[in-house]
Parts: sequence; C-alpha cells; structure tokens
Amino acid sequence: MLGARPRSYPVSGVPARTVYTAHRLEFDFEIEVQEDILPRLGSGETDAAEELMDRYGGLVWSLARRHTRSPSDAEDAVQEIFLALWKNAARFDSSKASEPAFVTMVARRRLIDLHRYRERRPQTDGPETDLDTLTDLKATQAEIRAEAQLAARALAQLKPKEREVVLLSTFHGMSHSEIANHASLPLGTVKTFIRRGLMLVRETLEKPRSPAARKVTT
Amino acid sequence: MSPILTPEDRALELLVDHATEGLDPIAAGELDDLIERLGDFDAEAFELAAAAVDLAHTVSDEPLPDRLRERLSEQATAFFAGEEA
Repeated sequence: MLGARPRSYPVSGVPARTVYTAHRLEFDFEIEVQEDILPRLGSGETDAAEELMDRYGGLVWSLARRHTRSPSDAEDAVQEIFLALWKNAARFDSSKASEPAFVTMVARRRLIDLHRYRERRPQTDGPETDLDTLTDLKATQAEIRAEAQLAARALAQLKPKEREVVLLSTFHGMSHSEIANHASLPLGTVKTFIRRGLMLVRETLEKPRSPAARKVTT
Repeated sequence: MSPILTPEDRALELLVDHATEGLDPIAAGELDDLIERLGDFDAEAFELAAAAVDLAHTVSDEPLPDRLRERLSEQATAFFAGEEA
C-alpha cells in the first residue's frame, strides 16, 4: 500500500540521517545526507515509491520541463522517468553515485531516448556560471543541493570557454554541432571540451568514494 | 581526414555522445561491442557527470502538479502490484 508512510525508516545499524563532511574534497561545507530511498524500493519496500516522489518529484519535473517543449510532453516524460526509476531501483549503488545524481542520470537518459532533448529549442540566454549564484542553489533537498555544489565547484575549475561548452551541452541540451556554430569552435574542439569537462566533474565527484567503486558495471 | 582512434578513444567518444546527445542504433551497437571488448570499462561515468552538471544548475523548487502526482501514485500501485510489465 502506497498511502501509509512512516515518518522515518530506521535501518539496522544505520542512522536515518547522517552528516557527510566534504573536507576531503577541500571544500569548506558540511552536507546533511538523507537516507537513500532507492535501495529500499529495490528490496521490495513499495511504500518507498511515494517517498521517492516526495523527494525527487520536483527535480524530475524541473528536468522534464526544461528538456521538453510543453507541459504535456513534460508530464509524459515524468511518468516514463519514474517508471524507469522503479524498474532500476535495485541497480542504484551509493558507492558509485549519489542518489540525486543517479535519479538525474536516469531522467536524462529517458529524456534523450524520447528524442525531445535535441529537438528542444535551445535557450538563447547564456548559461549561468557565476560561482556566487552556484552557491545559492535553490534545490530543496540537502543532498540534491550538496551534489549540485560539488559539481558546480568542479565546473568552476574549467576554463570559461570549456565551462560554457559543457553547460550548453548538458544543461541547455544543444547538440555538439549546434554548440560549434553557436561558439564558433571546430566540432572536434567542442567534443574535446565536453569530454575533458565531464571527466573533471566525474573525478571530483568520485573522490569521496572508494577506489573499488571507480569502475561501473552495467 | 579523421584521425584513427584507438578502441579506447573511440569508446570514450561514443560514451560522451551517449551522455550528452544520445546515439543512433548503429553507434549504440558499436559502443556495446567496444565495451564488451574492453571489459572493465566505466560505462556510466560520463552520464553521471553530465547528470551532476545538469543537477548543479537545476532549480527544483516547483513541485509535481497535483494531477500528475496522483496519476503517478496510481501507476506505482499498479506497477508494484505486478500489473505493469
């Protein structure tokens, strides 16, 4: 039954809420991390489906709205994304990615598969790359905000042109060819910038995880 | 003339394309073959990085519309009751 939800889900030996300290990344903030929901859903705790919607509904809705042309398309996309999350809940491994990143990855995968991602009209205003705004992210959940801050700080290490290209690709959904035209860069350079930028982000996000987790099996 | 890529470089190129703009079926098949050949390969790394960047700039302060939320709840009930394939 999906309607009745306890307020907390204590797991044997694991506190419901823990504090994650990011000093290992040489960042000066602490992150309160909520207990992951997907493992419970993957192990058959179906009540967790409602909690998943509570925690990530806004994020998935925002992603779908941005990467589709209309509210109707976004609603269809959200339903497909949550179906994919339910089906893939057991695949989530917290040693490889945070739960918000995994949810976003599944959402992006579905949006790309729906062939709406590339067809979407690119936004013409430039991507926001100012660090001051990155530290004022409005994501509602602490862990989503924390993951966002880590990625934002990784991006800040890129050269401005590289950062712009990565954001045009990942956030604005422009194709590599569109970016080449937009930024007056050779296509090969665009691909190199994206590859280098994403590798840096990934390396930064992987630092707190165990070395054994660096390889992902599919 | 395009440079000749090693299998590893070609796989990385395809993984970046997959993470950012998707692959057509032919390229997807090529990537599957390369990953199988290369063995222990971080197949989701670029997807997770792209997701993190997207996440970093996404303002998610708008909740799901009530009607959509209700529909999702119904679909979840059906899915976990085994009514969805």
